[in-house]
Amino acid sequence: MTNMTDEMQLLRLAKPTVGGPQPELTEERRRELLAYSASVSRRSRLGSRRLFALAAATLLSVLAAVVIVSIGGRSGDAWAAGIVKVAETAPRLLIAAPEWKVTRADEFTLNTGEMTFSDGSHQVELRWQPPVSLEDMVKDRAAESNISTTATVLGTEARVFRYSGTNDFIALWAANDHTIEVRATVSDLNSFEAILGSLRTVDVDTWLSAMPASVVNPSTRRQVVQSMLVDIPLPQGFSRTQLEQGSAVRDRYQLGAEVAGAAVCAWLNRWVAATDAGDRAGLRRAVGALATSHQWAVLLEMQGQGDYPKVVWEYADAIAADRTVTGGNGKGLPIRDTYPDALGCPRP
Amino acid sequence: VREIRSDAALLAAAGGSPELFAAVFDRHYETIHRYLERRAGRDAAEDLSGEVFRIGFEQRSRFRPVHESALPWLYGLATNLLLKHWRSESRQLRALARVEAGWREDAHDAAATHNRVDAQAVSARLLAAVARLSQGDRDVLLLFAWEELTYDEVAVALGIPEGTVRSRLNRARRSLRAVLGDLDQAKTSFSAAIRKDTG
Repeated sequence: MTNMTDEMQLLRLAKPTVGGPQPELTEERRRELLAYSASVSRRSRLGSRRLFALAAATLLSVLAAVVIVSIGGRSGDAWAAGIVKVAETAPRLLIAAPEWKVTRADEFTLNTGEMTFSDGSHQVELRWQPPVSLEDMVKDRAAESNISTTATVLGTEARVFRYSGTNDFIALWAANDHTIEVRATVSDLNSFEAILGSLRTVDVDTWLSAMPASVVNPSTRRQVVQSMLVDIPLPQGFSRTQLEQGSAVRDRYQLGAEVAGAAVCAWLNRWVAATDAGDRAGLRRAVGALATSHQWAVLLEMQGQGDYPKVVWEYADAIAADRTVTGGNGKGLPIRDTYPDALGCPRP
Repeated sequence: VREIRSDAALLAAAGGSPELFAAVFDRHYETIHRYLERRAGRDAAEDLSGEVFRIGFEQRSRFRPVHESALPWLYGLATNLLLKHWRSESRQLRALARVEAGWREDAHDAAATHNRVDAQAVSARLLAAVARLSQGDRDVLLLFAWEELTYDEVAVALGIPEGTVRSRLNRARRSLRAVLGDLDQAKTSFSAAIRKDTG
């Protein structure tokens, strides 16, 4: 039986052998870089004020965009405005057959997204992205395929391919503001076309309601966050507001990482501050609080799905023992320098 | 210069002396080029490798010296460039498929030919599975498996928490395992062929 180690060994063995850079081109690139960096250095000394003004203008644009999104349309009271905005811009496709359920939907942004559907034995991946040249995509897919045909999907012509030597089928089409791709591994072209024929565009409420149980509905987020925090000691002044008010669709694992992470980050910030101030009582509070993380229900729930809990516990144990965490090549890494990246904490 | 300064020190001082940034280039250009060549082919690597260091110079103030080496950060810049560069995954697929071509070219030994046929089948399935991963999962997997970055280095490279690195890696491994599950026999032949070639 193939195990976890085997697939990594095989992948490492399949690492392509490459020739590396040609010496003369390397020297050319080096000269170009030197010329460029010298030129930039001169410009930056002259133009730092202008760059600051540009950065400020960019920041204002971003803030304006955030405000526009946050006050965007609402489709009833069930959904927060942010997620409605995402849903309104998404293609909102579902497979209209009762056996097909959405099993993964944790990677949305305003213009791109991925969802996985499953009927218990097969999976269908749906991806959408802003419009790209469909012809370029078609040309490339065709080069790797031994079936290239068309199918009508929701009134639009889609290009359908099967990767050579596999039962992996792909359909590509352009719809409104997106390029859409559907992939599935099924027995034959007819089965794939049947799936394509079952796709339906649904309204915002129907689409959001189809999210799997593991996806936390923004309308219940406050309650879920509160339940996740119930056994987590929080430092004085810790604000739950931002955690409770997030409006994005979140997979329960991802939300758990956000919630537990907020508490861990807050305690590690306190630990750093206490260390710097020589505040022994503050140190004890931070160490003691994080020592309980081994029993936090949300982390215990998450540990079978990913390794975020292990990273939390690694840091909790490291501050308790006043030691480093083990990083690259077995080297010890200072806690204060690494925990923001390791745990996704905002830089204090 | 190269012996006495860390990457972090070189990057910090490079604004006033571009030659110092060239020392970072000297240390890491070949590694970054090979990474890009593995993932996007030689032509793209030639185009993009210099771009990585140009962007690196522009963004040197964003480098956080968590690790002494700037390499994980440079891997991140290279990976971002790949995202923008690829018009489709097929280009990547073709680059990966060159592994197979390499097997055929190396087939001097008639006794190994049979194993290589199996090896090609496993290789094709494996690489097709890699190509089907989501971009985020694939980046993590290949930085870990091919570039041999550690979890924390991958996190730095991709600007994501280490826990996310581990989760993505788990998900990618499960996908590969599903593909390879029914190919144990072929896998054995594959490994045997590789040992014969590299041993």
